[in-house]
Amino acid sequence: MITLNNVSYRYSGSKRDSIADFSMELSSGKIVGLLGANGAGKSTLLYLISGLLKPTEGTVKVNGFNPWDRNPEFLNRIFLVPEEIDVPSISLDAYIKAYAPFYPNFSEESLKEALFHFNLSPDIHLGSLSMGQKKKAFLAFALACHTPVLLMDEPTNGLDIPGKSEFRKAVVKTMNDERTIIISTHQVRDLDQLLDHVTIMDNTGIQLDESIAALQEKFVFGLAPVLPENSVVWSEPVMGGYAYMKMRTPDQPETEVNLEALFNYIYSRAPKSIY
Amino acid sequence: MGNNIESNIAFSSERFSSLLKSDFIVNKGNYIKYSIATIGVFIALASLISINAVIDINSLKHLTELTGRIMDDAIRAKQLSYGSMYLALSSWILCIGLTVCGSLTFSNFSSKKKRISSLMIPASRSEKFLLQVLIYFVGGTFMLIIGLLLGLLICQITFGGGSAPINSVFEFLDKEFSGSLTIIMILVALFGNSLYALGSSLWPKLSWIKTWVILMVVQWAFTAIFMILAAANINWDAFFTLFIGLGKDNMWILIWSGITILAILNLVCWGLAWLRFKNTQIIQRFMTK
Repeated sequence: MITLNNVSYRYSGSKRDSIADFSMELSSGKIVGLLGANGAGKSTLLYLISGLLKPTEGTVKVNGFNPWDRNPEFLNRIFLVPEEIDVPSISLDAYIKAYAPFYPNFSEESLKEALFHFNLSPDIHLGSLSMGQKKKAFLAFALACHTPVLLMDEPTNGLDIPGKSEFRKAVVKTMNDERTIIISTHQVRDLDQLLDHVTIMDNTGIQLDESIAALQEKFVFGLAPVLPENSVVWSEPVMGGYAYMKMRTPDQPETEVNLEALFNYIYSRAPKSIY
Repeated sequence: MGNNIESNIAFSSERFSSLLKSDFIVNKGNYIKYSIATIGVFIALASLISINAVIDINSLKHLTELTGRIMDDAIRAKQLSYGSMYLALSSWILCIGLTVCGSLTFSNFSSKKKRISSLMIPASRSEKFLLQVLIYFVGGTFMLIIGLLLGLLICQITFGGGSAPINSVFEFLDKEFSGSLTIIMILVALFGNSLYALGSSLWPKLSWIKTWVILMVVQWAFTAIFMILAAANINWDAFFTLFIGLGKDNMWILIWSGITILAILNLVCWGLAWLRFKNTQIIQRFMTK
């Protein structure tokens, strides 16, 4: 369980809060998409949850721990994949010897499986890899640690197209009911069909916090050559017609959530007008 | 693998040894480079001095007017002179080396990526702090001393100038103040190290240069204050008479006050470095990138 109560954070020298009076509660067993525009405070939120920043006001609790205490028992239950990773120039085998002992649930089998997904061999030298391959190796290690909390900041940045697809598969493979995975990104298409829950935020707070199931129940997302007449809440011209989002009626079948449409809608209008 | 390092306490020897092991696996290349560079500086200095000393001593042997004991004394004087030169220069390098070691103490915080990597390792703050101190203070000082001694050995082997200056230095220190000056000299060198370690905790990137600039500014400020005070119309006689009037017995008060103050300053610097380390955030003043 991750709980943030009235959390504010202001960076040194900044005139405004990066996050202001922010509250959120996340239970285990979910893959949460943390979406927001640049500067919305997504990375700040991940840093607060991982104890890399101390809240200016409010409290953060992660599975009963105060992250800022940086208790080793807390740190071996959380893994953060930052946007820019620091990978030493050593073999993967040496990397595993160096860091795996800190993570009680680390599984070499899971690592090999994730590396296989990413088309990487287990006997690689990290120094000889491209930036994208380094990220894949780091993601594979992060997933193999099986920490109850896994935070990923823009994990698909730098990944090639097959890599993005393999990333989704690898995440799903390591997911279980005890684990919470939070993926922060502004590249919403990369998370298609991966999330259980969506949180859309800007620096004034949460604009949307809903499960994918609830969103599928409330909205219909689609593509049409002509814009439907009724209940359309958002639309955008695309090749061959319109991408739209409209209120769902009970007789309509559920559709896949178009995260980009949802995100654009939330950012264009006040969320209270929907609910 | 499933290796479980347990315990919730601030310091676990098992976790610390894992931390030490992981640090050596990741950074051993850098540590080898630093060690080679450190020892190399002393060996290069000793080699240069040895070459000059050997040429100089050999030229003495060609002087036919110097014979017997006079020749031996002349050679001994040269050995002492070149040996002392090595000792003076290498002591100076050792002091500079200690400031460099100090400025590298928190180099693992020099970029945002490195800070994330270091802060997210599942170990306590005290274990991470101790690791840095162990590597850069204990390890760094050890390598500097090894380098200095290897240089002395080269001087001893090449022109017999290794032991003479050491003996004369300690003879002087022991005779005058029973070794207390040695303690002061060591504490001054350590104070340099702790000041730069504090600087490293405040601004880990380009730490040595930044700390040096700050210290220069402080030194100029003090010089300016003393110049203003000196120019002021104050009767300094009473002040200086106080020191001139001190006998040798009372000098001990001054010496031990100096030792105490230096020891406290060292502890204060390390204490402040620990506080800064303990409260380090991923982004904060002087650590924005």
